[in-house]
Amino acid sequence: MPVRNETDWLTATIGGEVVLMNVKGQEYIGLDEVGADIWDVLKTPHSLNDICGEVARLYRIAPDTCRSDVNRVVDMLMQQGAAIDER
Amino acid sequence: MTTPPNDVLALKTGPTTAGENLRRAIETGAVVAHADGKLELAHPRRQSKSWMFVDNGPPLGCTFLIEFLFPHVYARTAVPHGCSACYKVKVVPRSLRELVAVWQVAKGIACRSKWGTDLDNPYSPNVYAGYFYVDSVDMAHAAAKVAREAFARDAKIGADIPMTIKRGCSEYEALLGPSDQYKFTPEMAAMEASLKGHFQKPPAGSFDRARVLAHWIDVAFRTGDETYLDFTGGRRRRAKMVDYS
Repeated sequence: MPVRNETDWLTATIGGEVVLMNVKGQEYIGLDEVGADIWDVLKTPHSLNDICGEVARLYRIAPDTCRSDVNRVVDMLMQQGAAIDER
Repeated sequence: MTTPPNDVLALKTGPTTAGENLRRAIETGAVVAHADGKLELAHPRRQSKSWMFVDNGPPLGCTFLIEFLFPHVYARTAVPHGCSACYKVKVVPRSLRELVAVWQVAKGIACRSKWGTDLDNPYSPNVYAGYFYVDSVDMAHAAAKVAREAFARDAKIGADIPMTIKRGCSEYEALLGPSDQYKFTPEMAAMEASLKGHFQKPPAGSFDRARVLAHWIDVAFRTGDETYLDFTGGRRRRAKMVDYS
């Protein structure tokens, strides 16, 4: 399942903290450091496996270690409409 | 725990006694009196979407003072004794860019402070503000000096950022007159100490930092402060509307 950012969301980085804002509505999402990295990866379509690989590379950990975090963040982004399934 | 003693609540700073004020607050449902003598606000203020807090100091206890004592015990006729030593250094950033810069600098100053938008404050003419909380006017002058020197070293701020020193909350001064005329008595201190033991603090909810930061961006956009684009990679908060003029 390739996932990418929905383009209706802008990224604001303020004082080192990241918040996504829907440019068409009032919704917002706060991201922690890992969430912000996942958001960055999703600028282009990636499968969940590829996202895990990218996060694992960034944090120098095994991909399986971050799989649950990646699933949680991607699920949340999709539920909020900030990320979409490319299929 | 018993209820607060009646003699303590006989204090009168306006047309009615503190006891009468508190009884009225309980009768109207603003304050809940529990069987164990605890007193609780029925509707504590909701988390502000305006402020980020820098907790470089002990808690202030403002909920007890301005949400409980001032409206429900003093019936807005006197400033609580617990606020007598409260002074604030107010900093007035002129843009979101400057607000974020002063907030970051304040994290390194050993003084409790808050930073954010003042637009929803009916007593302020400013869009953005920051407040350092201190315990005396002398400390306020010292804190202002330290802050101004730190701000002067930051290229995004500069030494000319507007700063003032005020006493207590603006709501007090708006309702009761000049803060250099406030009257505080030992009886007020005694009553407040007694009531403090009965006051039940509202539960601390989780603080939604993203809500505050999103609000800052919204306020900047809505007031025409385009420095918010610094933080969005140049992307606009809203698409431009078609202009038919």
